[in-house]
Amino acid sequence: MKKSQYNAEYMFFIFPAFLLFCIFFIVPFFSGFYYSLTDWNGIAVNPTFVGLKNYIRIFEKDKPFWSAFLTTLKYAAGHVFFVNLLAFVLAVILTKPIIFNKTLRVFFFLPNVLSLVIVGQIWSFLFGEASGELGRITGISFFSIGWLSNPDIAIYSVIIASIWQSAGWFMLIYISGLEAIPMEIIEASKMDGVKGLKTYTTVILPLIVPSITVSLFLTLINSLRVFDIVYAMTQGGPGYATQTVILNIYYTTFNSSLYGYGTAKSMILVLAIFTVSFFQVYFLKKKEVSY
Amino acid sequence: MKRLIPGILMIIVALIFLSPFYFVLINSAKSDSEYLTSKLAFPSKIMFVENYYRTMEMMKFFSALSKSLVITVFSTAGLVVLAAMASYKLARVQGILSTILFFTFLSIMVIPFQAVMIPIVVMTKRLGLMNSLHGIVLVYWGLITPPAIFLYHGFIKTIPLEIEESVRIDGAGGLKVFWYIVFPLMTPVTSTVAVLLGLQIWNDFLLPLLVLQKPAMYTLPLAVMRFFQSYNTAWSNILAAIVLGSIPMVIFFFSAQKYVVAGITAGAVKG
Repeated sequence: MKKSQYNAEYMFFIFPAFLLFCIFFIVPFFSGFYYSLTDWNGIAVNPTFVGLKNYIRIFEKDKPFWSAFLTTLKYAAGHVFFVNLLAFVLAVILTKPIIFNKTLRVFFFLPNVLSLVIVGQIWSFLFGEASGELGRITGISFFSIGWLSNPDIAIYSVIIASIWQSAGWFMLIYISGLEAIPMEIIEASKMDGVKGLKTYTTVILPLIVPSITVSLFLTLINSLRVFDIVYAMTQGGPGYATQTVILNIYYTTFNSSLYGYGTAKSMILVLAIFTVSFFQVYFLKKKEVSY
Repeated sequence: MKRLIPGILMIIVALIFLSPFYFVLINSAKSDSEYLTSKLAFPSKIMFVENYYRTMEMMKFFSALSKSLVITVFSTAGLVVLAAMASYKLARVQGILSTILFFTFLSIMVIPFQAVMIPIVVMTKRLGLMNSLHGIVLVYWGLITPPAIFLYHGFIKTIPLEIEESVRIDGAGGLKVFWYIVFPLMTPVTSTVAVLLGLQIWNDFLLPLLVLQKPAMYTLPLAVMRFFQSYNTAWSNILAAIVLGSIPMVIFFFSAQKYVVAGITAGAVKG
């Protein structure tokens, strides 16, 4: 059998994709490093090299950046936990032999086809315009709280909207994990006397660890870089209450024309995401079980 | 009976879950005065035609729709071709170079777009590609081809080499072998790639926000967002805009449902 070789044909097939990838990703990535070491304002032809001054300023003086970081972590914690919880519960229910379960999956997935900015606007409406009236009519004042106007609550409102949008996607991932478990294993464990909740903790959960890994990984990565939905719902407000890291970088760079400084912040974000992903994958890969 | 009751219960839960759609819809059909009276009541006079007609005009709906359509279709078609071709050779020709190239492509999946968005915008400006449809399509080809390569790569390994070998012996060149034999066999992955990544591109907001700054060039999500920001008290119009912005994807989803669901579950297994 003749083995394929590195030849002109190889280059022809790969070159276009690689070229575009280099132009629009590799080169920008490295020039990003360079910009982060300058004081570039986005327009000047020859930005001044300032070394690590941007980075030092971020660590020493940029309080808004670090509170944006904290806000992002708060958001991530809420989003990751509740999305996975809801997705898992839905997956469990909709893999049981109940009527309509296939149709129901479509229903719960539906919000996911919407653009995140549209989701943000929908919930802006619900939390802002509709909630007050709901509170008056039902007499339950809880509905009338300042969902988006109260700085302490706003981030949780954004989390709720994001859960509504994402749960369906991850429900599908958990469903594929659950459906991949052969019935024989469940039967066998029942014969060994495992029943009720124990079936879940000792048999099912270990077998769907790959789904859990993927879901936790994706929900975490997505929440660390959240932009669209917060931009649409609150623009980072009220005040700075819901300003996430990306929003902070966006405003720094484009509103204040601090391209160099903004890029430096981006680099720190990349580092943070790398670190988090690495640890996460490491710990979860260790727990995978095969059968 | 055991199947029916939980099913009905879940239908009720699902209806509550989807109620935001209901409230957005009914309020988009209200006159301004009715809207001010109540946000929760069903409109007594349904003003679909008036509200939507006016909103479509105000937000330049058809312009935005066509931009989104053109960008999504061309980006998706292009990245399918580029990714299929690249992953074909990367999977068939084993060796150090292939491995290095493959992982280089994959690196984009761990680095968030936002970290490189500034230099990407700068690069786009430098190349004179700002505010142009072909410009943003090129950027998407550069950025979204790698995930597609990832999806294709795993699948190609399952296509037996013998099929290609026998055709080559008959004298067919590489490109012909690829297009007439291999690519048709990859149809399952192609539909997954096209649906998943196409959906992502259609709904994308940040890249168009940065690169398409002229209103004439706005994609649909961008147009809806700008409408929201400019007319922030004309709620019945805003909600109409939201509905208009959502309809294309909802329709697409219901028709391509099978592929979307299959795509996500397949992607999950690979992931």
